[in-house]
Amino acid sequence: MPNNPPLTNMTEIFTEIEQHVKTLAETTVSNFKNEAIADAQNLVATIKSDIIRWTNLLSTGQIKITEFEFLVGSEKSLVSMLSLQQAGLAQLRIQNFLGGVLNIIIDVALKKVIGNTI
Amino acid sequence: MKNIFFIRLIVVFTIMLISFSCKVPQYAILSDNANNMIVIKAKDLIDKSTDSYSTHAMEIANLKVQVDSIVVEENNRKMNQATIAMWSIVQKDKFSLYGFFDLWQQQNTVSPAAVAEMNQKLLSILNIIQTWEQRKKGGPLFNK
Repeated sequence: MPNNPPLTNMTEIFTEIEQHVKTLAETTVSNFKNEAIADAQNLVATIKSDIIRWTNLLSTGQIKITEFEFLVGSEKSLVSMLSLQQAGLAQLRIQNFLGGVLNIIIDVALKKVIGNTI
Repeated sequence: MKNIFFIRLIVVFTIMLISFSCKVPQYAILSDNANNMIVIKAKDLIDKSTDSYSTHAMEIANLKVQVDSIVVEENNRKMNQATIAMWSIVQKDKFSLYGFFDLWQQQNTVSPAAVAEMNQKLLSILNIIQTWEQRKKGGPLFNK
């Protein structure tokens, strides 16, 4: 374990990440390349401070390689959870809307049938 | 007279409907308590992961039993796919809670600096389930 090693050059790391992301987008999702690159850039920007901190912890020997991999991977789990939450919320909104439609049907029908006969 | 009877009937029916819909189901309260307990126990275990895995193996096994039983309950509820999928990530994803326990077991101990970072990430994952459960029971649907 090195003692007080120089902090890793983060600019170099992020430049290389960006290059690899572009290549990955071209080879895997070429039809949506631009959207995929934009999504990837947003993701990297969101977790950039985490990556910098974790990379420094790794380079100073404070965390192991497996722990670094776990931390970066946990972002994937977090993104999956947030996607599920968003999809679930969309479904709940639809259910609420349909519930509202049924209430309107009841209200209008009762008003017409009973309200008008009072 | 017949119309007044109908109106009274509708008023009584509406009051009953409102009172039933406002009541939080017992299973939901139990589910909330169980979720909270899991978050508390998970945090406690992650904090202790600088210790040898074997000293906490029993607590980990107990927590897994609790999570597994929640998942069984959630599977029995209708229209519950999102919750089930979220718990599935906690159980099966390599980089979620069970994956963390596997890592801890493989390494025997987790580095102190990693514990603080992992605690934050893993609790964020579990908190999403709690937030989601609150929203299902009438929490905000449009806020983040």
